Amino acid sequence: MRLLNLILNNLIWFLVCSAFIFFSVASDRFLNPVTISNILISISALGFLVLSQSYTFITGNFDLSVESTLAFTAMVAALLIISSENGGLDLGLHYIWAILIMLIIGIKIGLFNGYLITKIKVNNLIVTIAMLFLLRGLTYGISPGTTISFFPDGFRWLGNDSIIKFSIDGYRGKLVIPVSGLLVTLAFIIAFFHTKYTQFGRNMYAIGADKEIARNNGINVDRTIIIVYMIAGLCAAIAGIMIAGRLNSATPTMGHGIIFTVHAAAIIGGMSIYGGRGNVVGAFGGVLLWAILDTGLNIMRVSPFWIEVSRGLLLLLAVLIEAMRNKYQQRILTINKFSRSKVGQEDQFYWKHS
Amino acid sequence: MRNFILAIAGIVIGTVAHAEILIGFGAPALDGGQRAIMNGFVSKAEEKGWEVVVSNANSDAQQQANQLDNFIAQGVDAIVTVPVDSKAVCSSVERAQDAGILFYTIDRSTIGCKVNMTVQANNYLAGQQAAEELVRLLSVKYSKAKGTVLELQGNMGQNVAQLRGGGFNDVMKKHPDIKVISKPTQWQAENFGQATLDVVGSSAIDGIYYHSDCVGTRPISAALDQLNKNYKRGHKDHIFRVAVDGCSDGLQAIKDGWSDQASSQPLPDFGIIVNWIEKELNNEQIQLGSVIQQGAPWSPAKIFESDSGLMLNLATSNVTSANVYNPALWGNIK
Repeated sequence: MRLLNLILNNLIWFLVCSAFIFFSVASDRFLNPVTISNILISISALGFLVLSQSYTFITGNFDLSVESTLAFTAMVAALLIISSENGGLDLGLHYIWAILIMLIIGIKIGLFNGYLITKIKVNNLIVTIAMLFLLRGLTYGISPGTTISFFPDGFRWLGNDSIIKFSIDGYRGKLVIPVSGLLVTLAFIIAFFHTKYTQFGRNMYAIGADKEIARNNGINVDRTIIIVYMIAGLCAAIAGIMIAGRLNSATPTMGHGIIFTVHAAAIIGGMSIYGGRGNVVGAFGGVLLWAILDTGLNIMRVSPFWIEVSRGLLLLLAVLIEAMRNKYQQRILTINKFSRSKVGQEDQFYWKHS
Repeated sequence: MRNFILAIAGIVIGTVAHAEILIGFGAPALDGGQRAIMNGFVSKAEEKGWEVVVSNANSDAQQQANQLDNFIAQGVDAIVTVPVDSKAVCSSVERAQDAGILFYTIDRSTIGCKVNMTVQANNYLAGQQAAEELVRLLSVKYSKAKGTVLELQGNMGQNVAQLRGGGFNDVMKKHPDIKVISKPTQWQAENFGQATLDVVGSSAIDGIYYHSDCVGTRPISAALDQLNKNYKRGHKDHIFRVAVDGCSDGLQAIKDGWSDQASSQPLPDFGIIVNWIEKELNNEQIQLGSVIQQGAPWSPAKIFESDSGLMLNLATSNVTSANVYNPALWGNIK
């Protein structure tokens, strides 16, 4: 039973390993340095967005505005850095300042979302949907109507450069450990310790489980939720830096529609939309599985239409497994509870003292 | 165990045949005109015995970048793509060229980087043709070139929309009494419809120019129906409609009298790029100069050097009610 529990709680990693082995065996083009590098690159921006959603999911909230936050912050940076010849405002701001501005804007957007949700008591879904539209519209509004391109190399470092590059005998291309892949891995490690081993993290889970009980137990619910949304905004801005760096462009349509992929990857990784459950390590597994599936199916030349189908099937499978796991664990809890109960047994105190 | 897994893979997905030449085709989307472009390219590539692997970016520049990277990982011999974004694709071009892979674009060119070759329609000419026809129609209506026109743009981040808009507006600028209201649509059908509802519903519009009749014909008709302003050619309140592409929907609208003109692109003929890919795969150089294809409405055309690399612009055909039944038009081919 313990083994079964262990498997159920770490099912995502079992799926990740299975997918990796399957594609490695099924296609000789999968297990090569360039493919591995591509997977590491493709998980970076998506990983930060999934991290942002994981934080909000744990507290029982949604943040649909992250895809627009990503685009808006990237567009602001592009306008500040890039010359008018390439679509910018010709302000020539140093990229370090532009990155700082992006991060601050992302945090402020999160602060605004959190404030509306906690202090004004607007439903989190409505607030973040409104911000999704508002920020996307603003992105179009401030853009010159077209792509702004050609960031300086320093700006692109996070999204496009690599720490290590080395060739492996017998393989075409080089194995690249991208800066972005390392950064997102580090972020998930920090988030793991933050959510599991700090008071703040425990508060998040308590709020997600039951907000009112958490409040009655002295947890500052409003403050915690606001900080969670600020973290989500920060993650979205970092994702914007990565995508803009990788594409060497900021477009008004950046990240459009990605929120559905983000939610799917988070749920596949075990995050619960009801709050109070799931862990960020599992969410990282969800991101990895998504990237491996996408890359593997592309390499195996599966029709793009069937790749879309596979994504939907994976999500359905994830929620089905989650539902079955919850049912199984509830059953085990009930069995354990009744097995320790003395109801119906001899009254030990009576017989001892009578 | 390995054999078992391979057997499962074989049953589920089918045997993956390794042809001698493998081409990666990165489509920006697979609806409307893009489907015709893909089919045209794939059929010409398969005539040469090549294998083509196709990806669909769903109009997402980042997804296209991931897919092009996967082509590099697969070790394709060449990449052919229709860029989602003409500038954003340059980072993928750089990576492909670093890996020694030939890179081509069709339908849209890059901006800011060079590829091996681009085959596209002469989108600037297409915009000019549409504008000239519209000016003619307005001149007949008002005895002079005047009126208000709605321009429904594609994705202005792509060179193709910029050129279609450029060609159109450069003609319109010569007629100061014609006012142009421009609205972006990102090539989304619902945006064509909504923009039509918004502008035609609130202003007196004499004509509509839309960057794609593949996407825009039906939503625009539906919107005009909703506004009770959908009249056929010849009616005094008919709103002139001119467009680019020449899809079957667009040609049918001209045949039925709803629309007036289309600048027909030879979408399936973009696949002739395979001839020059073959040359480069055989280490031959592509020669500048004339290209002739008997019977093709765009012939002759010319390969020239541009900021985006070698370019072959195929002329668009000006289609009106007089020649809409021409069987050479790709929109008439079943």
